[in-house]
Amino acid sequence: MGSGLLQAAQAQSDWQLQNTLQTGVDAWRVEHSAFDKTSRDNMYLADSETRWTYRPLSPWYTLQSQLDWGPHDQVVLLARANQVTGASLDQLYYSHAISPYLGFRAGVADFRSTWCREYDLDNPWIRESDPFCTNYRIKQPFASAPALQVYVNLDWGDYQVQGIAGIFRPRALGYAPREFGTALLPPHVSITQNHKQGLSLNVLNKASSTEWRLSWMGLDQGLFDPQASLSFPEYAAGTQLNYRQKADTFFAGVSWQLSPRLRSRLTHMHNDLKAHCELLTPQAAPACVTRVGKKSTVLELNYQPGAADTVSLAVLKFPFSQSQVYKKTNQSVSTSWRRDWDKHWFTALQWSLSRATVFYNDDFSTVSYLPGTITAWATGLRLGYKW
Amino acid sequence: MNKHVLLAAAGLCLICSSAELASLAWAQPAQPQKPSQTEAIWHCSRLPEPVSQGQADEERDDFQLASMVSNMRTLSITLTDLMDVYESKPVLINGRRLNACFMPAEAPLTVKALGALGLNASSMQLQARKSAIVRSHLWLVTDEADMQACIARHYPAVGYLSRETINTAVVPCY
Repeated sequence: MGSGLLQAAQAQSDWQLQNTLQTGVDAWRVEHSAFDKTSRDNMYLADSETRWTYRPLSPWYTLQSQLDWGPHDQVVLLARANQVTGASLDQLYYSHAISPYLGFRAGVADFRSTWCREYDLDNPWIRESDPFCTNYRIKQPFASAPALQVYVNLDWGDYQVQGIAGIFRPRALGYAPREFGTALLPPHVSITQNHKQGLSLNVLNKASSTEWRLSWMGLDQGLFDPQASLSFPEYAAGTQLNYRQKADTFFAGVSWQLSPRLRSRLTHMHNDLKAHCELLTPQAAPACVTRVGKKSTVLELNYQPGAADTVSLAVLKFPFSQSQVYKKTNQSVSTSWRRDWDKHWFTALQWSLSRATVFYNDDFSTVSYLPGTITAWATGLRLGYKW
Repeated sequence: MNKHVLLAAAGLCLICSSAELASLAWAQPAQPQKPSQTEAIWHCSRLPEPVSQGQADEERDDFQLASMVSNMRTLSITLTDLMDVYESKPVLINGRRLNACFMPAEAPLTVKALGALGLNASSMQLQARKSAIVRSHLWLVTDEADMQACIARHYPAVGYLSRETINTAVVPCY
């Protein structure tokens, strides 16, 4: 059906389908001071931990669809594919508005906890600085999942207040049967539990366009490993264990207008994971206890000299620590220039410098990162088209 | 112009014609439309052709209650509707949510169109983002071709253009 006929049909019916497709190619040149894969992955640049084999020139797409039935009901679909995250169905949910102020959603949904911009039509970046937005493994615990959510949407004078609460079950519907924090599980391990919850509050002053967001996400995950010695050489053959991990993640963000053309935002995300294992053959080894902390702080400036151009600067600090074993800190500076050309074409040019410093606290044998400081830089060009 | 003055003008003119309302809104005398390059002209989705006489009669009844219709089969949107939809408040046209298309805050047309209503396009850009907790009916576009496509695609929708445009999907609102 032609688009004109489709529009005419929709105009005379109760339903309406709205699609936005963005597609294009990204070209990257990445240079590292260290050449082993682990160190390269540690830099959180375009070639870090890609789900598909990294290629300097790679295609991508994002699709947003919204099917409205009257003013109260809609089905939303968000899907994308790129070499960093692979192909993913990020949202497919039914939403019902009980009133303009209250509604619920059911289906594959996200936590609405961050300001990641992968689907935004005015995203100034090819690749955002925050690893919580761009790194597949780091993002995985907060990725979309089958969920039930309830939201509120209120206006108080100049303020718009939106809040959402939800429960998530990643294994439901076979959506993410092997998701377990940031781990890539071996096949012999079985997940026994994967429960998540989330709360998010967003306040926008519509007069000044200052925006705040506060979010919390909690996860409670368990697994059974019938052959723990395969994953942990220190355990005797035949050792079985139950592993349980809980994590709290907090996000706080503020975004404000410094001048009519200059906008700033500051975001902080803090993930604290505590894990312990119960050995079912206790004579094999003492029970394990692990604690992992990640914090990301990003300060960003976006300057719009005109309607078609955005120039951005971002500074990231991303410390990571794991129990008493080791800690590392990533710092990066990125700058970009996005231009929207006529006839739906757009380009983005980005340059990033990343530095990682790794420290060992005691056990050298269990981590593969090389101690010291390594640097890397990346230059990228995106050519995109949107329908 | 003061936002409250505009609202009061709209409130006092509930039985005016859409042309009269528009002239109040812009505080300009009614005159032949020959806009300059930078003048913002409000455009709306064009209403579909009725498929039968019965439906046409039914539509006429609807519009006596809900709004007005011109020979160009345009949506009729009050100034209050216009301001509400750009503030992300729900506005229903024949039982459907009205959509609003807008260009970035720095676009001259945006300054003309939304600035005149006392609206802040920067906050609209935030509300239109996909990370928003509740999806808005605000749609960010980058140029006038995109604006026309947006008004056509997101029926019923409103937006602004620098030239009076009449085609199968888009017509001036007022």
